[in-house]
Amino acid sequence: MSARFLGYSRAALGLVLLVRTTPLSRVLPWPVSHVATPLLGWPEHGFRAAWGGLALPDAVVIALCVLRTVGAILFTLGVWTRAAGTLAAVAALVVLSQDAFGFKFTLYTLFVGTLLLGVSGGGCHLALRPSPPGIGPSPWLVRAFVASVYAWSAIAKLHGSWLSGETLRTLHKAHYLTGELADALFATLGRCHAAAWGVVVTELLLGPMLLVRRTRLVGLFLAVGMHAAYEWAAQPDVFGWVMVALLFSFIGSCAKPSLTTTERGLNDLPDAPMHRPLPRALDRGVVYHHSP
Amino acid sequence: MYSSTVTYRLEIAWLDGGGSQHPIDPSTLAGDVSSPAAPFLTGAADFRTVAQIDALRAHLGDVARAACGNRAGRVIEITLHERSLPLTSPGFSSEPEAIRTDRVTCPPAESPK
Repeated sequence: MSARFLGYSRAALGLVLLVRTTPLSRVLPWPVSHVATPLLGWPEHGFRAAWGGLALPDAVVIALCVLRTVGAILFTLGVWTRAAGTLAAVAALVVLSQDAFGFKFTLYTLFVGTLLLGVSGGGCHLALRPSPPGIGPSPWLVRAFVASVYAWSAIAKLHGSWLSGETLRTLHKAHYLTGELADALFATLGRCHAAAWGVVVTELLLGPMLLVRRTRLVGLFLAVGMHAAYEWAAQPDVFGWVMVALLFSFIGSCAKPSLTTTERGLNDLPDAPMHRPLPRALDRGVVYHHSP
Repeated sequence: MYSSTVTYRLEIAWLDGGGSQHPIDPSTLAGDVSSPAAPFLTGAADFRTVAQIDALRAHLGDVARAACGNRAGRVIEITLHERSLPLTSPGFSSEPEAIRTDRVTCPPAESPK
């Protein structure tokens, strides 16, 4: 069951990856998500701002942009998913490292999520070329990552400026938070104060609620509701879409599916043939070969 | 989600042989940097409040190099002024709380072959 939803999660996240890193992004309603270059991270004007000063030649960055796109297409379709997801994510992270100004946690979450879904068996279902079972599928790596995103997001807000509501008020006045919901929520410092605490408490609770089976369903509704509110008030790039795609990994049971008759072994069945009298042929030492 | 804000402005200038400063409007450099870097320069001659400037703090020298253009062999100086209070705060003062400066020497012009 969870393997099937890992497949849905992979397909959805792959689509977000493909759209957000190519000119397809221009169909998105938020200009902040638009890619102005042929592909996201394509070198411009010879400008360099690489992390740690480790700037790669333009030709290498361009090649990585192309490889990332090829990997994203294969990952979305479910073809050689592990390799495609790893290729797309590693290429994306290296390209991201070449322009520190282009770093966004939304993109980082998107790329790491792609890597984790690729190696966690996201290609076993809803795939053109389903992955062999191998060591997966297991949703726990993706689930732990999602829980950690909420935890770190809350930890980053545990400072006086946020908790007093001042940060939200400033962001609202600077038009980072817009729309009817934002105008209603952040009209006064008192409301900003309440909203700030509400966000931190919700983000702190979400990780444990999603990880514990008993509270998971409520956690899922709470998470989706929170992202809907963020989309309405802040339009934070494709963050909400990335997280909703990853939240699919929490749907479905992790219990191993019940074994089929063949896997369980005939001896375990109450009416197993071994409990019956042996056929006459076996009595005579005849060996039967099963046709596939 | 945004978790903080910062208020900043940029001063960029090229230095002539006598050490005199000649200001460069940061907005004019927006076309010489990458698309993600451009918004950090547009209108940055005056204080403005944004969600974060981590990349700008760490890459002042790279922005200065973008100002080299046809100023081969010149020295470019870039200064980042920061305030923690937003522009809209009654307690805002234009006196910066933190100043970072970087200086780069533009590469000499390539001699014609």
